[in-house]
Amino acid sequence: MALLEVAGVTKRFGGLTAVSGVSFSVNEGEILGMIGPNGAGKSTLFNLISGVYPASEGELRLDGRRINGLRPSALCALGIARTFQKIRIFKQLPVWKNVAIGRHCRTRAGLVASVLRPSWVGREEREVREKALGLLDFVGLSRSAEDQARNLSHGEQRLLEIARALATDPRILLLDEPAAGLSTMDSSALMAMVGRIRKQGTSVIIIEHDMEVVMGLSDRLIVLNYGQKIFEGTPGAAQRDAQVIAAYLGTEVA
Amino acid sequence: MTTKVQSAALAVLSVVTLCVAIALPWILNSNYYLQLFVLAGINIILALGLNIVLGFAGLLALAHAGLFGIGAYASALLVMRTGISFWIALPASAAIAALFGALIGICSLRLRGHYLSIATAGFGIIIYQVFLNWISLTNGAAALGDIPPPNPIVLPGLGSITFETRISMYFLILAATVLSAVVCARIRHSRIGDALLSIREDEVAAEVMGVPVFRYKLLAFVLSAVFAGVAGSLYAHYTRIIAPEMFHLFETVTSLLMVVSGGLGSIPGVIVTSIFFTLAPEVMRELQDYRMLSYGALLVIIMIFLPEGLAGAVRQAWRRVAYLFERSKVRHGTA
Repeated sequence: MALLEVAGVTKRFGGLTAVSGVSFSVNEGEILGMIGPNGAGKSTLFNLISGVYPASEGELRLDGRRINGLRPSALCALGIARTFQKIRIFKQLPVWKNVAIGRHCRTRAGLVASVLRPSWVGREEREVREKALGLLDFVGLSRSAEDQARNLSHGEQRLLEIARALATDPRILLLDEPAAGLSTMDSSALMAMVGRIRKQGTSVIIIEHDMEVVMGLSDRLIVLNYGQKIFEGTPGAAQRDAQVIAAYLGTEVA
Repeated sequence: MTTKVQSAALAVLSVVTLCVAIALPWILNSNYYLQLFVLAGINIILALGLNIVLGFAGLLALAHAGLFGIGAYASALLVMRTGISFWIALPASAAIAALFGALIGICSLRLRGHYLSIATAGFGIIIYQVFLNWISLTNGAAALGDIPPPNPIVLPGLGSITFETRISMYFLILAATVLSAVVCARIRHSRIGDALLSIREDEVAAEVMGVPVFRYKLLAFVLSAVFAGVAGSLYAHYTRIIAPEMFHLFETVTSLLMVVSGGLGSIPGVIVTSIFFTLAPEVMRELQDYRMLSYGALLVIIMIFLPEGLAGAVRQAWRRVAYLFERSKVRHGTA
């Protein structure tokens, strides 16, 4: 059974239909690439899957269970994590704290425990810190762990978002243009990293404009245009598909 | 490294401050000044409460003085009308304030930014008007007097501690202040504190990363109301007379000034500025008529020159010292 199923999902903002009847599914451990011109509805789709917007129509299922209408925080606890196209880190907090907050849904110290601090709370906090430092090491930011997050470069902030998302122990990770603002060298490091994330059993949906990255990584590709899915298949087939070529390059004048 | 030195310095400073605070009645040797420090303690508890909602969660909620008043009237009326002990009325009034905090939160937390501030200020004004006009309950503008002091604590075999004198009230409120500061610091450095700070930083990201934002905002409202309620109860039984003017929106602004100038979210900063703003108007008596004006001017000056408040200024000075220290070390190393 597919891990995530998107079935006939539509999102309307007033008169504008940003996503229209899109269906696809993601299997366990699969990397699904999502491409399309600007305004095709890719980020909107991410917002629907992560619960930031409610879907106007259609159904979203995780492990066959309907997840429409759940709060983003509840979806995060179920295993859906994401990064943002427009970076949203906690700027005034230390880098490692950014990652630690991703552990929120996996830790349990409540108000009373936080004030009285029985020994297990200290243990839990140490585990969170260790996990955060481990993830910073994984994305290559361990040297900056104690810095304020706003002092990181643009590319580093994207990596921090990935580490923060991984801290939630996701089953499916949504990456929204992770290579934007990275150098060619950094983006090949990013590709290797995404490969390792998948090896750990996490499924990935990746929105990316860098064709080298998305073609190289994806097992399957879906192409959106004007809110509709116009293609689903292997990256190789996408490059030969007439409709995809038309969406990207325009059609010849007859 | 520097963080370790910083926390050690803070620990030493806290112990020294506590020792001074304990010795204060004998250092001052004046009931008048001691009374100011009692009020400073109450102001600290109030400001620490506002700091949770404003400094941690980043919500400019302006019903704080109203909640302070609810704590004060609830405690005074419980003791006077039902005859229960102050020691039961204190937690009960904190719980009543928490209930109102939750109610205000549920009604206003759908709003954001300025709209939230306006809505909560509205609640503050409603509460004030109720104090003023529900005369059969609060005695209105004529003030509610004859509030008894806290009941004596009987220690078996050792006699009892009474709270008739100013000095004993000073120690009661000192204990409450220290407890409040410790609770606040523990919340700040816990998983809950991190969640609140993440909401202040970026609400959408916090929610998506697994922090249930609405629940935590509501928690911040309730916690801040608990602090206000405790402060109110202590205030009522200390001054023994309460009137609606003490719970006017202007008092919220005073607390706001303490939190902002202390440095949003900084507990030591808020404590220092709360003491300062309690003592300053008394020391500069001649300026009394200009209190409101000078507070406003001060708030503007702080926002322009010290946007991170006292704590921010100290942090910056610390960084500068650390930098100079590092540089001199490097110079000596290479020489």
